Amino acid sequence: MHATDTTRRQGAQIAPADPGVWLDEHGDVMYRYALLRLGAEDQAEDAVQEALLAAIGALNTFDGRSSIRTWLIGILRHKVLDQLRRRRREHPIAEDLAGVLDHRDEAFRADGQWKGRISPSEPGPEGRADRAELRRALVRRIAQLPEAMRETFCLRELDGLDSQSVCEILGITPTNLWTIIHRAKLRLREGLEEDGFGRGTEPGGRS
Amino acid sequence: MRWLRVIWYVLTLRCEEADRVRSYARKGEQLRPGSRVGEWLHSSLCSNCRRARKRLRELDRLVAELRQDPDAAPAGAMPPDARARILDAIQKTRENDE
Repeated sequence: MHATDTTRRQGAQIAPADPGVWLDEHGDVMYRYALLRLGAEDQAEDAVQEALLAAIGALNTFDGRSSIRTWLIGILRHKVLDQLRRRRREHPIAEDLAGVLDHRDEAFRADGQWKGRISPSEPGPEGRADRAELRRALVRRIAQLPEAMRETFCLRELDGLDSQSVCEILGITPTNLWTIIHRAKLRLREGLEEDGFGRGTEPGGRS
Repeated sequence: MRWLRVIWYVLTLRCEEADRVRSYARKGEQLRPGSRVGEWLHSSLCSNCRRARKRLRELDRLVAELRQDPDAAPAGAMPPDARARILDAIQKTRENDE
């Protein structure tokens, strides 16, 4: 008998013991979670596979206090971080960052004024999306960010990693980190405006 | 002379710089008094910057909601061949385990 069979059985009483069921019930969610952060389908698939295999070996650590999905996503999160570390060891982020950091913010004109009029915060009739719809729109926009920007934003803002950890994983400086996050937010805000909050075309500037 | 430079900075602050100052403030950095006053004065005169500030707060709230919802991800399903490959790997692992 395997040394951990008993604990596994105890765990199995709480969690569905069949990883095939995990794949059926949570596979798509796990895949989408990984895809948003990694951006590449093959890497997302690998991360899900690694997470499920790790979960089989770690079933005794599942105490039933969270849902099985939350537990699986927690394991997947580590696998995604491993993938990102590996990726950034093989392909340092510097080249990708050049495209992000070398250009001035696209939101501004050369004279430092906003390019367009930012519409009032109250969304118009076409923009009264419910929060869930708005969240989905935001996720779509995050997925469209340039790779280095998306990775940085997801690690810091979605996964809540501290700045030092993000810098270590991606190999960036704290100054770069905040510049990237800020520019990502500018892009996301613009993207959401395009998606429903609308943005006027009048020239920007003081009014 | 230094205070003249500060006044000049405050009076000539552009939206882009004001936006940068707001960004620094949000990450908890200590702002110089000139930057703080400049941003405040600029935002009180510039409707775009006031709106941008409000939008940024809304975005932060939305991101915080996403953070609480690990399921949030773009729509889409795992490709069937990937699913089959993973299922195969799971079965092999379980067989080896037994």
